[in-house]
This record gives sequence, structure tokens and C-alpha cells, in this order.
Amino acid sequence: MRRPQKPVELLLVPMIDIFTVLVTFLLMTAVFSRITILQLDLPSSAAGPDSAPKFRLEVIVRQDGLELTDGTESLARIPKVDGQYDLKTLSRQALELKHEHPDVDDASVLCEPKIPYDDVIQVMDAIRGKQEKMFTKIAVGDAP
Amino acid sequence: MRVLNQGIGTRGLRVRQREDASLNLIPLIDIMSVMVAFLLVYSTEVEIVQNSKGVAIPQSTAEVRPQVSVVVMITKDQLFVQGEPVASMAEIEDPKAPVIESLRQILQRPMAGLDAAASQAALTAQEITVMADKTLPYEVVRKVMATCTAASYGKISLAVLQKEGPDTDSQPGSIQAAS
Repeated sequence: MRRPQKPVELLLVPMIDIFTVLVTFLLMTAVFSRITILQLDLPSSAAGPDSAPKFRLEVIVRQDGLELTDGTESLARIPKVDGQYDLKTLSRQALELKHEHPDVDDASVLCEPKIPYDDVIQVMDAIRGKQEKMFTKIAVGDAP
Repeated sequence: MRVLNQGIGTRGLRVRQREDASLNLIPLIDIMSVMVAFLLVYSTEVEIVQNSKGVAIPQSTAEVRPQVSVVVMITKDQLFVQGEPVASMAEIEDPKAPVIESLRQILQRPMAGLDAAASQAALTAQEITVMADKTLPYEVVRKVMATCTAASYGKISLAVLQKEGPDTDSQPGSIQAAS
């Protein structure tokens, strides 16, 4: 008859142990960097003969700077600033071109072979725009 | 006097302790359970494209979530398809070959890493995700993409890390400076 009189205590310590282990384990395995994707809009042969001469922004990434063309003629040259591509200027000019041709989404990024992949992505970011969507369908190709 | 004082002090404390001796563990457990729940939910959010140690992919403002697809990963010296090594950098950079033959053969057979349904879905959607190291030259990435197109994978996506805030990308070139 003595036993029931003892104060009943929950054994919380093992539970805390398990929780601590779980928390540390989950914290260690947690991924804090999110991976997203950039979808390329590669021209496919099944697209059909819809090749009307339309404005299409082309950005040529060269070793010494960027060059903007509309597919036929050069629009602007943006030289490198302090060894980096001047992405701000590129963004601004792309925005101006977007205002001139509001219905155009297509753009191409044409690169020279030795351009680092990171720069290609940054140029694509610059012409795609952040808040204001500019050229969202971007293809990649070789620089002429 | 000092000793006496201490004696009285500890005795007083001891009496107080005896009244409620147990630690108040409930708030601790509360916090722990919330953390466990949060981390469990956070970690079970399905990561289709897993980041890996050998490859530093570039940052971008892209917001599209990855879909189930074949993943081609290019590190500084090797090429992996669904985690298995396929070609070395020497093979990729071979100027004589227009496409990477070993990669093309692998892409044309059913994928091992995906289950049957996912493999079928990837094949019908013809989707491929390219994870490339950011220091690689464009020609390497271009060649891999050309091979994917040759193996009839028409939809190519580039895997990137999402940038945290809009503030960080206000200065162009900050990423290159950091690397």
C-alpha cells in the first residue's frame, strides 16, 4: 500500500535526451540554401516556321565587355569596369529596350568560350530583371 | 560572523529548495518540441536537386522550384549523371568530339537513379537539370548542353542557388568579389 502514496514522477530526462539529439541532428542536416532553376528557352526545331523578323535582344559576352545587339546591328557596348562586367548598366539598358518593345520576352546570351559560367548566369539575371520582369525567355549560344 | 552568516544563508536556501525541488522542465520541452517539429517539417520539404560538396553553383535571382528531372552535375574535374561519374574533364574538353559520347550513351538509356515512373516522366518531359561549377568556362557547359540536346533532352535548366534578399544583388559583381 506504500507505493501508490509515493508522488508519481514523469521520467522527463530521457525524453529531453532524445529531443536534444534530434534537434542537433536535424540542425546539422538542415539545408539552408535553396536551389532553384533557370529554365533555358532553347530554340527547338519543332517550333515551326514562325521566324518573322522580330526584335530579339542579344547580349554578347566577350572577354573585354558586353555588347548589346538586336540580332542584326549593334546597339551598345558596355566595357568592363574594374575587371567586372558592368551589370548595372546592362540592366538599365535592357529596361529601356523593354520599354521600347514591351511585348518581347525573348533574349539570347551569346558567350565566348572562355567566359566563366558564373558570369553567364549573372548576365542572364541582369537582363531578366528582379522586381520588374524584363526578358524572361533566355537562350544561350555562341558569340559570333 | 562570516561563517555564521553563510550557515544561516545556506540553511535558508535549503529550506526553500525543499519546497519545490524539481526543475521546471516543461518550458524546455515545449521549446524542444517546437524546434523538432519545425526542423522535421523543414527537412522533409522535398529536395529534388540536392546540393553537393564538390560543386559550387552560382547564385541567381531565379525563383522557379526544381522539378523531377535528370541531373547532370559538372564539377571542376568530373561529370556526374544522377550521382554516378560518367566522364572526366579531359573527355569533356576534347576539341575533336562535338559531343561527349559517354554522356550521350548514358542519357539515352533509362535512368538508374530515378524509379520507373519518374524515369518515364523525365523522358517524356525531356527535362534535364545541369548543375555546373561557377568557375567552369562556358565552353564546357555549352558542350554538355549540346550533348543533352543531341540525346533528345530539349528542356535544359540550370541549377542555381537562390539569393537571399533583394539587397544583396543590388551591387553587381559582389559574388565574384566574394569568391
